[in-house]
Amino acid sequence: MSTTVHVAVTVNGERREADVEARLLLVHWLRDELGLTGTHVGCDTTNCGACTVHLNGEAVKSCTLLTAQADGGDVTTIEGLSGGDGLHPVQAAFMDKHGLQCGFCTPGMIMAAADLLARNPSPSDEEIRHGLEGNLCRCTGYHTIVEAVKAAAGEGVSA
Amino acid sequence: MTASVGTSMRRKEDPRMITGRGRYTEDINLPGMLHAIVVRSPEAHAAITSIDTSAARERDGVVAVLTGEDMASDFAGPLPMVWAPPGSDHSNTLFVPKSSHTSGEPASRAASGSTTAGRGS
Repeated sequence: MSTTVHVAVTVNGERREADVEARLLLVHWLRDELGLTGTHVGCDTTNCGACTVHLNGEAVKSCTLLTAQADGGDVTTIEGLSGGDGLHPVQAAFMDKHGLQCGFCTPGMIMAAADLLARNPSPSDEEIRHGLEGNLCRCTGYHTIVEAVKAAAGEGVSA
Repeated sequence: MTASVGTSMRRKEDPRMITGRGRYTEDINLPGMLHAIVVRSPEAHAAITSIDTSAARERDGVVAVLTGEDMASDFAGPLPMVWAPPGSDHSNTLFVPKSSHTSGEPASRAASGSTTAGRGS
């Protein structure tokens, strides 16, 4: 039942090693073991996208990955997105365009949007909505989120 | 005052929310804190004949498993409501004691030292 595996993962630029239960989900490792609570668990069922992080540069839902699957990989969470003290352009755009209300879905939205813009620097409204369809917001609504992503696109967001 | 009318206001809470430094209930970790998982009725309208909690109780880290029967003396009555719609006879109990009226009513609750044990995954 409690098989442990050794993992070595670079998290927000820092190499972290741990012996974790084989069944431990990546989101629980990030939140419960590493204290990175900016990544949220909204639904536990891969629907809502609140747990979205980047694994090797791609947006993934960390409630659907085992920590063991991230072994040897490079994980970026909302805490490490800007790579420093400042704001990533997507973070700044969410604040400027009121792309958040309660803020619970926001880290996942921002991580998904940053990945979208890295792959498609000038998305149309439709492409933004399609790109964020795996992320649910229950208060702000999507209009201002789309506006925020468009604004960030104008800033020339890099990966 | 006039400067704020007709202009967008920056929200004070946004900087921490967009950087992952918000503090939601699940982010709080206190010494000795237990996590509770609500087990809900899978049936919309049914009589509860028994609830077998033995498997849940045997799990490592599980401190207590509570059902309506266990709580009958302390929380027998309905939970207080601020306002009930006129003509409504609906009341919410902490646990369903004998019969479930709505799919999703809490049938039992498990408290454990870790969310992983409580999840039972």
